[in-house]
Amino acid sequence: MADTTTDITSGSTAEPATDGASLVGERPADSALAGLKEKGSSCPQCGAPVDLPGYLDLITCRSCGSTLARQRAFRTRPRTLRDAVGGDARVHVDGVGLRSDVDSGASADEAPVAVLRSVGCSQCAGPLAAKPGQRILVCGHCGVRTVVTEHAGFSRWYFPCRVDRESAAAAAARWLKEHPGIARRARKAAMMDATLLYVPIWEHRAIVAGWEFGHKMRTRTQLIGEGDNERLDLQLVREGVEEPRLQERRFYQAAADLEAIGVTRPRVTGREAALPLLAGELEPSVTILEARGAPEEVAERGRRAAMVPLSGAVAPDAHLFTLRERITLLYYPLWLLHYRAGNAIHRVVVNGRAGNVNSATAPADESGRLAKKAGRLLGAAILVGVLVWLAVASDQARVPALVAAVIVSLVAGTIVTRSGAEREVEYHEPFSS
Amino acid sequence: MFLCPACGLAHEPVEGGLETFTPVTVRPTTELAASGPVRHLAVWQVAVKVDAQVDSAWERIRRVVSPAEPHVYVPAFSMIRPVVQRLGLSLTEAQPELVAAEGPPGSKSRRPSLVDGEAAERADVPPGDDARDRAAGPVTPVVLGRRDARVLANFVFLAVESHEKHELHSVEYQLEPTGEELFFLPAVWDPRYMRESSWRLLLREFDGLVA
Repeated sequence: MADTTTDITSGSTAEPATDGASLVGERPADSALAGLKEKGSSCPQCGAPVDLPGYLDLITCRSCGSTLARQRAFRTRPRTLRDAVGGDARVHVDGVGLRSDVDSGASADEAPVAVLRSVGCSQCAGPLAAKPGQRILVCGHCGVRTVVTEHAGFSRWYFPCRVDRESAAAAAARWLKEHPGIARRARKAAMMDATLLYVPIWEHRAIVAGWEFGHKMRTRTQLIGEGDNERLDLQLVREGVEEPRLQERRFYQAAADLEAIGVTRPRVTGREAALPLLAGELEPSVTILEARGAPEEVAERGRRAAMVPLSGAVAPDAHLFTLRERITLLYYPLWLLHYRAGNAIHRVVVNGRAGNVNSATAPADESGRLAKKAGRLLGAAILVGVLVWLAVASDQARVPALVAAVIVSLVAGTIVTRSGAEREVEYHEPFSS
Repeated sequence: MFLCPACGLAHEPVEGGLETFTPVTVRPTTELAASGPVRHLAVWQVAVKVDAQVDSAWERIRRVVSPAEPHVYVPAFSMIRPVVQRLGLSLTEAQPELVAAEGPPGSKSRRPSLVDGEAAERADVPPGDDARDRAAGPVTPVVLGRRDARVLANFVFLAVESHEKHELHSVEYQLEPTGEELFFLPAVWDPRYMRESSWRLLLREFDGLVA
């Protein structure tokens, strides 16, 4: 196989994944592979500059048309003094896989680096056009067919955004106007900015086949008694369960820490039309969250969820099996909008497909609370006044009345000073997680 | 699964490439009159090693076909539950004797019809069948691979057990698939024949099940 590579990392090493959601534009140093775009990589075939976004594995070179794949190699770092001052570490690639090597032969440790590899025909080394979702590639030169498997075991798809910036801002403004409990000053707030965000969601699909056996208890109405004593009564009956299953089950899990940016995972049913995510498919201004988590773990959780019996039988004897398991990374569009209310900046997240508000924060309406507080203070003042009058008027009750007046005054003072921070209304779309 | 229409070979993607094998086309073994064009339904015959209870349906089937070993049949042309369940159940219970036909199922063959004439025959064809006729030809597509058939053998096995016993509350069994073979069984689509999801198999074991 005619594999060619280019070293594009210049000694960069892998960094541990960062916690919390991170934006692609901010470069989270999730792995060495994520740094391709910033490093100014070039096509191994023609040397033309190639920008491969961090969320993709394949790209077609605009200059020569070669299909380029992202691949991890191991670069050897010199350790000896001679190597440190003049040794030249390099990445060597053979026809089977990627190997590490160093000229000096000195002791070394290995660090992962990212390389671009040209995808070529195994027969004639001609270029192969590979696209996500395509299983069989036909070489344009010799006609040899190559079966491809999904890179990293999963494919990437995205939902096209159906809501434009103005509509998103209008939806946010409508929510601020109509949602109950929001402060008056925020009702007419204007949006400061709007960013289109693509959040990654893991999808695990599996076909579940099998049977569930057992029994369940059911209530049944029954006519009992005779003559005038006849009446309907509920009776518990035992009912056998023999339910076959052959159906697809889907499991979804956010692939980024959405809580960190105040976003609720949008609801996905699995029936929405999605498009394969290719390089250049999304506009550069779009922010794409870096996906986190291992697909194997998602598959394990998805499998566990799929195997849960559904018949409702008491202690069911379930024989369920999964087939055709598939992991997909879905990118969902959300508009992230900010507005200012008073001194604070709040956010509204609008669903980029449905146009409804996904989640939002707003300053709470304090008028009711302030009125209640003023009422309490007024009550306390009247009480103190009565107590003082009592202390002046009556010699016997003077001391207890003064003590009580002091206590009431202290309580009232505490109420005034305990005004607390500005409260917030927080909203999350129902039926999402 | 890819079927070559010219030579009848089947190609299945496996780890590291394509695996090629020859499916067996079964000859009709009944002379029952049935109208409509004959289609060949793809069915996996799964050889299994089963450890089941003595009074199970499987043990009864084993005794009937003894000294031969019974197989589990998994329809490979559909993923619709009633089709897989009913057709798989019927075939597994009947354990038909499959006689290989000469060559691949090439040209569209027709069975003798009770009602003669082209127009009458067309009237028997379900709506939308023209398109399916052209797309699928006499052989149904194979939508279930070998690995799927191994898993679904459990489903069909449990369907057999559930069918035979009333109020089955639990099943204890061990099923291990040991081999699979792809067959194309001759059948006609008969809307009156509800038992097998309207597919009527042209095998003598199913003569007694005429609607």
